[in-house]
Amino acid sequence: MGHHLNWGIPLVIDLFTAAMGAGAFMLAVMADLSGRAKYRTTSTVGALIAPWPAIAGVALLVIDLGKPLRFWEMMLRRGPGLLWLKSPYLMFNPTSTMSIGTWVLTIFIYASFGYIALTILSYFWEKLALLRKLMGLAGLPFAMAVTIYTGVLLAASPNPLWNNAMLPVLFVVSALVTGSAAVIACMAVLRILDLIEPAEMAAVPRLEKMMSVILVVNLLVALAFVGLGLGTAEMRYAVGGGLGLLWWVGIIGLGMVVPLVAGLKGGEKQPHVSLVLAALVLMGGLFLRYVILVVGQTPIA
Amino acid sequence: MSADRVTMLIDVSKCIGCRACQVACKQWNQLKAEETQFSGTYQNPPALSGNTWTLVRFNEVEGKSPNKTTEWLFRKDQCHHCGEATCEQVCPTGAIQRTDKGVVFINQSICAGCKYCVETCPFQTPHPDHETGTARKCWMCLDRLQHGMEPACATACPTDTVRFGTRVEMLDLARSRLAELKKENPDANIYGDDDMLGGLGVMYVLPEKPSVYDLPGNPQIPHSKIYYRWAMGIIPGLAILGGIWAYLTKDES
Repeated sequence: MGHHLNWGIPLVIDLFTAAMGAGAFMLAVMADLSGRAKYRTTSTVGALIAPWPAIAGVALLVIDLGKPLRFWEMMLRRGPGLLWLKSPYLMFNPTSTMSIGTWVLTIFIYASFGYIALTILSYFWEKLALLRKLMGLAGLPFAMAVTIYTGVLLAASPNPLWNNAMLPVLFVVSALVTGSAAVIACMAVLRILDLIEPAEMAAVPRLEKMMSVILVVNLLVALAFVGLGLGTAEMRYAVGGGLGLLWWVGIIGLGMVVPLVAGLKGGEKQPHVSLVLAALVLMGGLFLRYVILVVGQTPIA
Repeated sequence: MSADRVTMLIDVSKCIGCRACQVACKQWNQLKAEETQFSGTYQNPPALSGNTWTLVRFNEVEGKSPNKTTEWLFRKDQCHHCGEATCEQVCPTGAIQRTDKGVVFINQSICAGCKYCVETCPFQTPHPDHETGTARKCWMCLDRLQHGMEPACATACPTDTVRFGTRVEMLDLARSRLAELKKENPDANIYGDDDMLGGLGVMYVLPEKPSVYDLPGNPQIPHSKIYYRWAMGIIPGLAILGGIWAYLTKDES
């Protein structure tokens, strides 16, 4: 891959981490709304991790700009004639998925901090539970939009690998899978470090089973994505000649099938085992973004 | 689109591949030369870039008659100043703007270099410049237009391949040239009339089909499918979220 990528590795990492954070947020809200004490820790862990990968992703997006210090041009509109002054009006271009993404990410990060605050406070004052749930519900559309906009963003390109109708589905499903994996991995680490009680791990086998079911959907959507693009040289390069080994072994095999089978079996596992399986899912999610983004920009003879 | 929209017409059948337009563009806009290597074609530099805003493409194709085994096709490539411009629609900073005469330009003091226009332009004309950090492309020599002059490339062209004027004039000219070309070649066509992307501000008269000149036959603006793509994410996403909620709620253990 000697040629220069317009959208490079920072964007690959952002596509992965922002989706993972939003996925963890959605799982946290669903666990919260279930109203079950068993999932209280799950919800808290999901809430606590949600904004950080998204913030890291946004930081990488800004660094990857040709003019990083001009990131605010995406948020504030310049006043007429006052080129050196930021006008008080917000910059928003509804026909630009990049502009939509800028705002969706921003609002999601603020909403997830609000959710963190209410999650922590409601441990001390249980009456805040309703407000916490409402905050979670308010953040939910933005979390989901964070995962979907990337698929719509890439679809605007004439490139056949990106202009694939399954891409938004693939990204939203993958976000829920990697978000769940991030929550499971964090719970496993907390248990290994003895920071949470063994009883609090009771939710994990159930979460692993849930993740396995979503992984089945993820697998089917990934295959549909391949099938839809199989007529193009770009897709054949991604899943055949060029990066086929990474796609079939790294993403489909280790990233989906192995954790899927292990999770469907159910039963309580050693936290180390849960951690490894979750790490496989996360690795698969990262490689998925890598293959799609890099092949999308590789000139194919 | 305003009535006094300006348009450039490129009649590729008259092009002799002299590249005077390329040089004039570099000189007027003070664009740096590029160091290139011979790649088996006279096309040089090999592609448009942040410092090459117009380029004569050299295509070798199979000839139609036995005494003409190879045909050498020239096409001046550049920004098309689309009536409905993808770059203008996808720009998140508002840096890509349009004058009332239909010239699409990138405001270099606003562009943040996100490269979304680079990735989405159906003609792949904006390119990132690593020195300025911004996306750059042809701006139809806006500074010349404002002083009543034609763009540098149109002024420099020695064969009247590149013509410049009002849209009405250029469409008339294109039609008369088309009638002429049709006599010899039934595939001749006008590329970029008002049906394509709101009318291209830089049109071609082509003796052959667009694909022969590596032009997209039916370029589309991405915005036309944006809602459908959002639905393709939202509907399955909500379904799975509902499933997760039901699964966690119905847990009796």
